[in-house]
Amino acid sequence: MTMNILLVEDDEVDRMLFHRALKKAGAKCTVVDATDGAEALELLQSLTGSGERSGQARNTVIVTDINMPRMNGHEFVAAVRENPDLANAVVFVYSTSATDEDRQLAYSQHVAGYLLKRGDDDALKDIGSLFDVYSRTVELPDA
Amino acid sequence: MIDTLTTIFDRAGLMPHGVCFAWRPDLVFAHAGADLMITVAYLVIPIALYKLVRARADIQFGWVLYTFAAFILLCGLTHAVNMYVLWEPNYAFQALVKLATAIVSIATAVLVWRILPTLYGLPSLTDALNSNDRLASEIEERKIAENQLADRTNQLQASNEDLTESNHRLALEIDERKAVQLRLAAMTQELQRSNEDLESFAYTASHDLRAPLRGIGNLIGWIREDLGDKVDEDAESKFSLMTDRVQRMERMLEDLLQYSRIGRTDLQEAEFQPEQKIREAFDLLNAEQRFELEIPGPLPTLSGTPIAFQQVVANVIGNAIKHHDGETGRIRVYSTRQDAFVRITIADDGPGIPEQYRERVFALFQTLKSRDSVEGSGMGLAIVRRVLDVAGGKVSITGNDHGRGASVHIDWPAPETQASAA
Repeated sequence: MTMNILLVEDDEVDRMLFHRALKKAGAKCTVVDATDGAEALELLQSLTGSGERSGQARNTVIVTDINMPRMNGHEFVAAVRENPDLANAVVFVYSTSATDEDRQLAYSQHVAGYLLKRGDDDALKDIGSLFDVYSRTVELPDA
Repeated sequence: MIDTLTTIFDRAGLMPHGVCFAWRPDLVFAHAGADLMITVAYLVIPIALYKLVRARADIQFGWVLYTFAAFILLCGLTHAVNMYVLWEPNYAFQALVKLATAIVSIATAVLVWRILPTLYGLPSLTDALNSNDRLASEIEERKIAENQLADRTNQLQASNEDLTESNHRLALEIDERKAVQLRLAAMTQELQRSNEDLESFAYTASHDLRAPLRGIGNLIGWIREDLGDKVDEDAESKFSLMTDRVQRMERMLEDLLQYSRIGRTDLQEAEFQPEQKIREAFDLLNAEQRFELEIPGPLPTLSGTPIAFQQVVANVIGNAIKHHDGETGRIRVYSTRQDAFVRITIADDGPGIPEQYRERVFALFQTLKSRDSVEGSGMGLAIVRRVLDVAGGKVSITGNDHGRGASVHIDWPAPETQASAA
C-alpha cells in the first residue's frame, strides 16, 4: 500500500518543490495538498468518517508548514491531537522558522520531525530522499 | 468754766516777764532780739516749705511738709509771744499758744515716726543718681546690644533672602530636572518602542521576504533544469545573473535578520580569552591560507558574551580578507588600554579605508565597492557596531601608522569597570 502524504502548505512554489522533490527521488507516495490548517482539518475529518475511504486517513503522513493563513501549523497539529480518530497521526513540520520557540512547541505536540526549509541546492534532494526512504521503511500505526 | 477762763485771763497781780530780768536792758534786748530773729526765721521756713510742695506736684508726703510748716509756724509764734510777755504779762495767751504748738508738735512727731519706715524706703538722690548712671550705662549697653541684634537680624535676613533665593533656584532646578527626567523617560520609552518596532519589523521583513525570494530562486533552477539543453548561452547567463541576485538578496536579508536579533536574546556571559576567539575566526576565514595572523603580545582576559565578541572579530577579519587586494596578507592584532576599555586593534595591510568613509561604513547596507566586484551585504560593520553597542563597547577605524591598510579598534569594556558598574 503506497503511503499517502497530506501536504499542508500555503505557498504554491513550496508545494511544487515538495512534489518535485518526491518525484525526483522516485518516491512512491500520493501527495494531497491543502493550503492551510483549516482546509487540511476538513479534509481529514471527511476521510475519517465511516466508509471505504476511512483507511486513507489512517495511512496518511501529515507534512505541515507553520506560518499559514486562517489556521497555522501549531493550531492545526493541536486540533489533530485533540481528535481521537487522528490523535496518533504521524506529523512532520516543514518550515522556514528556525526559532527555538517554534521547534519546541512543535515537539511538545509530538511531531515526528521538525524539517527546516533550506535554500541550498541539496535541500530538495534531501527532502525527496527522506520521504522516499521513509515511505519504504516505516510502518505506520494503523496501516 | 467761763469763770475759769475769765480767771486765767485775769492779769491782776501778774508782772511782765521783763521784771524777771529786772529790766536790765542788755538781757531784755538779748531775749527780745533772739526771739524776734527766731520768729522771723520760723515764719520764713514754712513759706519755703509751702512753695516747695506747691511747685513739686510729684513730691511724696506733701501733707507731712504741711504739718512741719504748721509746727514751725507755731514755734515762731511761741517766740513772738515770748517777746510780747516781756512787756505784757498775758501769760494765759502765752499758755494757749504753747498748747497749740504742743499739740501740733506731738502730732507732727507721731506722724514722722509713723511714716519713718516709708521714708527709709525712699531712694536718696545719690541712689537716684547712681541708678540713673546705671540706667544710662544699661541703656548704652542695650543700645549696643540692640545695634548688634539689628546687625545680626540684617545679616540673618540677608542670608535668609539668600537662602530663599537659592531655595527658589533649587526648586526651579528640581522642577526642571523632573521635567527633563519625564521627557527622558518618555523619549526612552519611545526609543525602546521604536527599537522594538524596528527589530520586529526587521525580523518580520527579513523572514517574510525570504520566502518569495527562495520561491523565485527555486523556480529559476527548475526552469533551467526542465529546459536542459534548450537554454541558449544568452538565457543561461541571464539565469545566472538572476540566481546571483537572488542569493545576494538572501544574504542581505539573512544579515538584516542577524542584525535585528542582536540584543534580542540574552546571551551567556563569561570570561574568555580574546586570542582564542580571534584565532578560531581567522582559521575559519583563512581557508585558502593566503593570510598570516600575528599577535605579538598577550591579550588580556575579557568578560562579557563570548559569542558577541566572536561575531565582531569574525566580521572584521572577514572584511580584512575579503577586501584585500594582494595575493597574500598579514593581519596584526594587539591590545592597548583606553580608559574604561580594553582596545583590541585588528590591523591589516590591505587597501585601507579612505578617511571620509570611515564612519559611513558602519551604516546599514553600505559598501565601498560594487557588490558585483566584491560580494557583500554591506551589513558586516553595522552588525559589529550594533553588537558593541549592546555589549557597552565601541568601534572605530583609522589608517595604519606605518604603511597601508586599515586598523579597526574594538573597545571592549574592561573587566574591572564592569565589575564596579555591577
